[in-house]
Amino acid sequence: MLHLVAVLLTLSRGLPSDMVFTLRAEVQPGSIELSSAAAISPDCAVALAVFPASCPISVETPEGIFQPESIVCSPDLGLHILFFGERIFDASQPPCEEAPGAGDKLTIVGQGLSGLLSIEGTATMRYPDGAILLTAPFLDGMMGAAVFDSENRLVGLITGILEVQDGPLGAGEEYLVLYPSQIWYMWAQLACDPGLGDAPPFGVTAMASISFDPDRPSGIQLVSVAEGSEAWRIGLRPGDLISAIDGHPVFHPETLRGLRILSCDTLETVVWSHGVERLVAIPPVVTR
Amino acid sequence: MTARIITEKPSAKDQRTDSRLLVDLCAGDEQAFSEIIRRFQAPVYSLLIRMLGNEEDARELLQVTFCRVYKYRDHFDPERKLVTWIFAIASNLAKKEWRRRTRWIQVPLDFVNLTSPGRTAPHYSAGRLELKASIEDAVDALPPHYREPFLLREHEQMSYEEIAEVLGVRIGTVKSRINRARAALRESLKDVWEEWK
Amino acid sequence: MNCARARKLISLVIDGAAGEHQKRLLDFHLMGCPSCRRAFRMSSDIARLSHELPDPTPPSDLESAVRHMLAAESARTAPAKRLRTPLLAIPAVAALMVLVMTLSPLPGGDSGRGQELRTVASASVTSKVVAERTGSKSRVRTTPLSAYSRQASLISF
Repeated sequence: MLHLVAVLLTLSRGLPSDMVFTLRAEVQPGSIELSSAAAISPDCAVALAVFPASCPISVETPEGIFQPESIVCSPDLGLHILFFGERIFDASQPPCEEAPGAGDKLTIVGQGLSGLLSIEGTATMRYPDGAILLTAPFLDGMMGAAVFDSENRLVGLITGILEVQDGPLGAGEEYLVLYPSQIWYMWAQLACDPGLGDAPPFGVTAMASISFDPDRPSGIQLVSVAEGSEAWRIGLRPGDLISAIDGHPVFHPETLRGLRILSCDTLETVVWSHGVERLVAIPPVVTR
Repeated sequence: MTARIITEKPSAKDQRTDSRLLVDLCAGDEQAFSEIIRRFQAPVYSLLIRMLGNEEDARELLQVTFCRVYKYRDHFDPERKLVTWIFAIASNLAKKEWRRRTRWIQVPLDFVNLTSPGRTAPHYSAGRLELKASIEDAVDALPPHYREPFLLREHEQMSYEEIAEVLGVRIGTVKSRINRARAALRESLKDVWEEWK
Repeated sequence: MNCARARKLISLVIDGAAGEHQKRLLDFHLMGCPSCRRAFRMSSDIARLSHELPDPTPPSDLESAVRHMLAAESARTAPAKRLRTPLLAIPAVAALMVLVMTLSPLPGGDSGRGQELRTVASASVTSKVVAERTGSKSRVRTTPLSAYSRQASLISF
């Protein structure tokens, strides 16, 4: 019965190729670069930040070419969100809150020179910074391509190629890198709804920290914590590394920032400090 | 701003205002419908042809537009102007027709070629004709959602408010699309204009 | 004021939608900017000529075509009525012919219901060939797949 519901949900979501659109960036006068934009709501799309936000860009839909009214970018996540001010996308998909697991079959839809390309890929392993490595053919136009899971949910964008020296398939294997929406869906949600962002400051300055050492986790490194701030009051200190929230590994400060504002419940976090692990509960933002 | 609504002047036979015509039509006056068709057929046809690019489709949608005017005459909001309502119907039909067609990939402006034949010595009147012919081509080459507000402004002389009503968008969007249409036309016509001016 | 803003004002001035203050600002900018002066003259000329673009003549039989379409649509939704009235309204001889005609299956009839009146014109649509797809690869390209790298900067919140 659940299987039937899942199938029906998948069918009602629309095809991946209906939600990916051509992005045109005039990177230099007279020189145009084509990339992909994935519609996340009827009036906005997400794209890989392969062009500066200041260069002229436009997105093409069956109804015409549109230029965004405004762009929100995160240099850290390497993503742009394009706002168009009016509903121009017939089909759209909010970024998924779940990340694909190893072995999952995924559909990659990207903008090639001769049109939209749709190829199949398989998720293999997780990179220490939270990215997921995929095996898939390397084709023109896969940079910035949108990736969908078997239920047609948008699970992220392709952000590059990675060569892994000791991969499960042998040495020197090259993979397509998927930066999963699980890490940034809340950043996107906050960007789309600026009213949500009015929250009292938590009081931290943080950065993403990657660890290749199996004894040390990756996570959100707190570089400074303001004295007397909420973070200070609940026991966080500079040098702390937040490695998991509510049982899921976290990799980027935007994840914490977003979850704190969007979540209604207390966030149970795992914090590492000087080789010692402890649990810290982060209360949700009260103002609603 | 000064705005003229281009409709044919009421003939000696029928001096009724646009809104009067629709009121009478709802009351059962078939002559009012004839007059509505007579007044608005030319500008609506002109827009449809420029949006769809061929006579056959424009003729078909022109008929459907007036059928809809008749069928939904009772649903017309008297606060609106009749002309923007009729244009909005035509515009929506044209938009649906766009969706039906195979996806067009717009040629970037760098590649729009506007060589007009017989461009020898610049002669004032000959130059004028050339620029006009080139303008038609250049306007046709505009992406449809820039072309439509541009035509409604320049050719039908509608105000920003009226265009916003017809297209169902905000006034700011109308202004910015018209601005972009003009920028695109300056780019594609600059060589011809240089010779002409 | 930069040229991008000036171009927006140019557009408003041409449409007669600019206020006095805006016009003065634009004049000031145009005094020192030859490229915007040129843009202003070009767009004014284009506007003037666009207004004079020829109007294609609409089909002369539009009204009868529209009324025909309306009649056909209402007839489709009420086939029963169509059967009865001719028998009452026409003299005896013609009535026999009508009787014969109505006994044979109605053309269109129920299979016509729900069918769109308009003919699909897809065959006559020409898709514009994109120059960028064939030649000129140097001008248009897709973003190349590059090595994965991630910027890490400090985020405060």
